[in-house]
Amino acid sequence: MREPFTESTSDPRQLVAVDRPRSSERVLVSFVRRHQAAALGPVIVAAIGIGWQYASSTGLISPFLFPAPTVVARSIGTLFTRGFPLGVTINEHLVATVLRVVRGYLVGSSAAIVVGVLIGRSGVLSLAVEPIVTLARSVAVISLLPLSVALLGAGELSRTALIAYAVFWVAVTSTIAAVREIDPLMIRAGRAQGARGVALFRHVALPAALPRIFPGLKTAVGLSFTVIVAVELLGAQVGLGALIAEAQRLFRTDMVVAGMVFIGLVGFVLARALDLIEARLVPWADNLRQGQ
Amino acid sequence: MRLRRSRSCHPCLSLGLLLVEPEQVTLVPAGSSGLIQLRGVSHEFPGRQGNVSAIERVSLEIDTGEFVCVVGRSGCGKTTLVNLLAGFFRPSRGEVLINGSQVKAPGLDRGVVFQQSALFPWLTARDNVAFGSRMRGMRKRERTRLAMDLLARVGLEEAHDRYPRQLSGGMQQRVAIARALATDPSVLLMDEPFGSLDELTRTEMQDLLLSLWINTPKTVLFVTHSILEAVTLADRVIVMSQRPGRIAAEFRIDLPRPRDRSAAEFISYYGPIHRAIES
Amino acid sequence: MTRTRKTTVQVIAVFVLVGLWQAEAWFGLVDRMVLPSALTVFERIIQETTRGDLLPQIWASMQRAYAGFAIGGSAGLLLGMAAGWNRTVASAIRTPLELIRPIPPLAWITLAIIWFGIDDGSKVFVIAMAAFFPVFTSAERGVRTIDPVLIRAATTLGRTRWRLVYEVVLPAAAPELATGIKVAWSWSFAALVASELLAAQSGLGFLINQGRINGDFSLIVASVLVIAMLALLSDQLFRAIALGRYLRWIAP
Repeated sequence: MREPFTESTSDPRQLVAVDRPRSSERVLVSFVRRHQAAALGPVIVAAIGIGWQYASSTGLISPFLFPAPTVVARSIGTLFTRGFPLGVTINEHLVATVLRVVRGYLVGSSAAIVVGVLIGRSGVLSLAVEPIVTLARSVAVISLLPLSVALLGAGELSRTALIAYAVFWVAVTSTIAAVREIDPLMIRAGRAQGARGVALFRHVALPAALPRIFPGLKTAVGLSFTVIVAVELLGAQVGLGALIAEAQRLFRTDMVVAGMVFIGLVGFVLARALDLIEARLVPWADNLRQGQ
Repeated sequence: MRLRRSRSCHPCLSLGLLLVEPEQVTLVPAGSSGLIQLRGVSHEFPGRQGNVSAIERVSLEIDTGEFVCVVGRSGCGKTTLVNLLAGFFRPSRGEVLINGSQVKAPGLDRGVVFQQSALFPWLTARDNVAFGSRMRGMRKRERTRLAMDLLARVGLEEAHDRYPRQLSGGMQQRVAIARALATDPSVLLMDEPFGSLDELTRTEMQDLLLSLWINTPKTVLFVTHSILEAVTLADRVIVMSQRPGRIAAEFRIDLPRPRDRSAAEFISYYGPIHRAIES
Repeated sequence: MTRTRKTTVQVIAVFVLVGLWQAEAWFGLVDRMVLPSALTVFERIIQETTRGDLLPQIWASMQRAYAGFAIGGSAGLLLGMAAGWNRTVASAIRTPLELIRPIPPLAWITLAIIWFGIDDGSKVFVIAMAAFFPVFTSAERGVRTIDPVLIRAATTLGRTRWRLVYEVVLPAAAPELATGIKVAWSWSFAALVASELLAAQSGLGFLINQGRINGDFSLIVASVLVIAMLALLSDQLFRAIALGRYLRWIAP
């Protein structure tokens, strides 16, 4: 029997007789405790999934309105093999949608950067252009679909144009702001180091402005994805939006959910892609990222 | 006389030594590189109610190789002086001359160090230092070697591939100094470069600067708030009054370097300079 | 540049734009059938307002938009505040929400039509989905980043739970919330237009469809313009409200 209070005791737990658990149990407990916050999310999702599976397969909730996860999984499989509508595999849909997004995005963003830089250099011009940009942005892009189709035909060109339109106004706003907010100290330092004209622009102004251009570029990705899904919903044969539209027309809820799974995936990947590009292109901008 | 090419330009535009902007060709009397002359220089900025006079009728001559400190309260035009000499803008009145020719634009014959290091955050320390050489058209291997050499001289060789955000304030300013020196300017313009550093770092930087300068004939114009710093560094201390900025007084510091900051002669400069600032 | 100067430049810019539009139509640069002249469109807007049923259609659209916005916004507000307040709640709901977030709101119309039929219910659902996330994100951030000192000060002053929320939490989170609400409204409005384009018997999207079916391009352009104007107006309104009532204590 040890003296409860001894000078050499530094650990207060030793003052009390405790039945200490074995070391392996202790490891497990601390592991769970540390990760219990993070684990809660996936656990809840799994629980919902299981509950849904049960309810749907036993008929507690209408399996037509709420297809069970296993049913959806099977439909996803079908998308890879037989495809939906018949013959059109998920690959074709994915490629169609992603290509449209990329095409429109590249056109819109490159035009926006060029125009934005040109306009941003002039204070008066930036000011004058502001109401025009605001107005153009307020236009619901999807409402331009009939006009676009009438002008450019019912094919890919009108779709690219619409995406480009949406992307352009968002990207040009942030480009103009970025150019106007270039730190004059950077410009001075560049000039003092002998940079002038084009070289000053390429080696100093542009890198200095780039971090502030990116938030607009990132918003534009999400926007172009939203627009393309809408466009495809309204009138396309191939593409993720077309997929779920057709599925809805045929009341194939399972296919609708399957399609939405892919839509969510693509949306996520596109957003992350731009995060990665930003990290590569402007690694010095982490102070900016923290502010978002 | 020698024709000095102060900056390279696009290869297809240069014809031998003749540059597109003739003002960049400086005819330099041999042995007088780095001569600063200000003749009756005044400068105004547009303000809310009319123009604000930043400096008024400033005349000053700084010899080659002289180290001159400018002290004064905020708003006395010290920074304007540096900017005019650097060539960021032209004076409203008067002449700003370097080596006998007017300053019309920034050039590689004048190195500038700002208070906030103004390093390019997207470039490493080495690439920052090599920037001027790159603008000049120096080839990559040469300019990298030059940059590394300069970084070694300021004691930052190991940090050469770090980005400015990974460097402390003192280290950033060292890189900034290396960058300014990289183009081998005859004049060094420094606008309160150590102002945002702590006392200890500041002292280190002052010693570093002196050690870099002592063996080269560079003319230095150093702006500071600190009388201590001015007396430590300068051959001459110019005191400027504020609103409008004028030269109020001039003091010659006749102390051999390295200077003992605790010596009586050193401290004796304090009083007069302080009084000149206050008046 | 002074304020009046700035406004003048901008007003002139707008006039120049309209002028260019009219000139373009005069010269027939773009097919006048597809893009009618500015005057034609303005006339059409006035015509539809006075003799047509533009106002009732706007009202129908607004009702849907507001309903969806209110539902999605309140859900976002409640869940967001709960998540910002309590870390456990946050980690519980974060994962399911993150799974749903990348899906564009309009994509939900397909499920919504199956669930609620082709009527207003499906559109309101989509609009609610659009409004939910911006409000949720900003509410969560707004509550999560409240300076704990404020909370402590309030509790020591003897505030009960609910008064605490009302008097301290909401105002403290208001700036962040205001941004989220503004974004949510513009997303709701866009979702409204899109869902009406897809399937509607009334509203602005319906008008556009009518125009499309009948080849009535001045109606289409008129509707597009009216939609843009409404979006601009509501944005300005939000700005005024936010800056006026709730955020007066923040320096502009």
